[in-house]
Amino acid sequence: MVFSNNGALIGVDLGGTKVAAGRVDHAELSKVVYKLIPAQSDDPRDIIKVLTEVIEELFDEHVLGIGIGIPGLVDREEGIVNDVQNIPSWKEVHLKALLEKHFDVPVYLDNDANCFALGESRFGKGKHENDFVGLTLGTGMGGGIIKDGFLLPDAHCSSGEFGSIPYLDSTYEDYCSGKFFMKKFGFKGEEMAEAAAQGDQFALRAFDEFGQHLGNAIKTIKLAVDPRKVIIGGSVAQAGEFFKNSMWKTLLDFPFPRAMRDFDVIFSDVKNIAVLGAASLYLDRTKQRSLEEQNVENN
Amino acid sequence: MAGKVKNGRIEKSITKKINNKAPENDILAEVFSIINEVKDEEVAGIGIGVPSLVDVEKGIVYRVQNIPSWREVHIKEILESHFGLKVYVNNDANCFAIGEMYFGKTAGYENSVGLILGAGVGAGIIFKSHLYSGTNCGAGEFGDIPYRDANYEFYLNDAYFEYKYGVAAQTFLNRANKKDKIARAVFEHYGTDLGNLIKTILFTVDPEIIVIGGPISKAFPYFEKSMWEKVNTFPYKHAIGKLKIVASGQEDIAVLGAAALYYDAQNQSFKK
Repeated sequence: MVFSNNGALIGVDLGGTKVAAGRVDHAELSKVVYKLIPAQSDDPRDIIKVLTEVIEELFDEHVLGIGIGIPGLVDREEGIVNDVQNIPSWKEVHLKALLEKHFDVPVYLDNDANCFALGESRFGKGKHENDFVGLTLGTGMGGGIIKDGFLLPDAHCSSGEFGSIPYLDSTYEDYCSGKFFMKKFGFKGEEMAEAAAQGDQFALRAFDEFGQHLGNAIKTIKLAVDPRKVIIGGSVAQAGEFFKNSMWKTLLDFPFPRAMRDFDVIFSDVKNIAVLGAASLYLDRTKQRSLEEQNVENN
Repeated sequence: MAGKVKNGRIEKSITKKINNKAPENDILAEVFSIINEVKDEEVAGIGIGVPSLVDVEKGIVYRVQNIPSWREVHIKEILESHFGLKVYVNNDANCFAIGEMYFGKTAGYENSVGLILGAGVGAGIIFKSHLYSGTNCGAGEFGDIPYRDANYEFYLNDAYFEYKYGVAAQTFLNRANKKDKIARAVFEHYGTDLGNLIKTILFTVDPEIIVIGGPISKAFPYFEKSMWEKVNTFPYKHAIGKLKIVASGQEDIAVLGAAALYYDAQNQSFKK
């Protein structure tokens, strides 16, 4: 394979209803395209066709590799998608092999929360941090672990699935994502955030309670993985100001106070981080920090 | 307890009771003397497992459980200058995990967790055949994770049996070995809580194999079934299908594990 001096990457974020794909040139996102997907189709090939089309819109001979973030579990080595939320027809799809055959560049798959963490590591608030956890709080709760600047090489791609950890009568996801506001109060997270912004006491109390549960989740992460930072992203992160205080209050009641001294929780605001993270899979798997590093090496 | 380990076997070992209420230096003197009894000219390095938070780089142990005078002991520096050998310090759960990888049930696996169930509940994590300690050596402290109205350690340490049923864990174990139905039911219940902890381990660090050690691991046959029933409620069947959970069964793994710290450090430096 011949590396070009101005190599580019393509990142694809597959969602339950749409797909977003972006191209990274010179360490910047140069173009992003979106398409709706026929998620409920019985034929798995219908979605593969849409995926191929969006990648084709961005692809040329400068592209070094393609990364795809999947809302489910994948077999990284084999590049097989095992189960995807909201796409019932996708069972054991050999996506890597199919796309590599079509585009003739390396294709890498990973879970979308891992892509978020990786995106933060290369393009976001984790740029100068080697050991952190990226936590996404949206309609669900997921996470990815960055260790020594790279994704943690776990056994089944299910590390960092903090939302599925048992908590109270169910799991953390029911208490630390948008589900909490819907299940407990009957409102969407966005509605709650709007009300809280207007000083509504009921909404502020709801966020206060949310922050306590999130504090317990982060405590769990700290005790299990012991990262230097937790970087929070996803739609709920935008309401951070309403739950930050109660989150920290719970968090500071930690059994090893020494370990909390250089620990921090920060909120992410990078646009298109899912696409950037998926594109970064190429850098992660080829053990590179950045695209410049690659281009310098080949100059 | 100290032992001289060669070729994966303990050649000689010695066990001594210490006065845990003694001042810092008196206990250090005991450590010197016990190491001296097993050390000879063949010894290349010394590994020490301590039930506490450890600064692995600097070799400092903090607030050691059950030894009130050891609040901050620079044990690596002290022992290195005394013996003139490389000294490696880590917490006891990390020693257990690395010991199992070099000499026990997790040999041949790249990613494993060694979980200790005893007076405390803690674990060591192995990634790509090396100890994963986290940024403050605080990784694997699963016992302190919030669970129900307390934490996992409360429900899974040996004091819980006394607290909940007024009977020691060891007594229940003896009774279970004699097919006592109540004792078997107690461990079955224990397996359900343990299953939740195993799920927590899977969703955080996702190992290929978990090895369980510590005194309560001897009851493994009595809690294995209910533990798996809980673990099997895990939504990702692909991850569960390959997971192995085994009991350690090796009595002297703590000493072997401390010695394995030396090997882990050697292989770490080869890598760099």
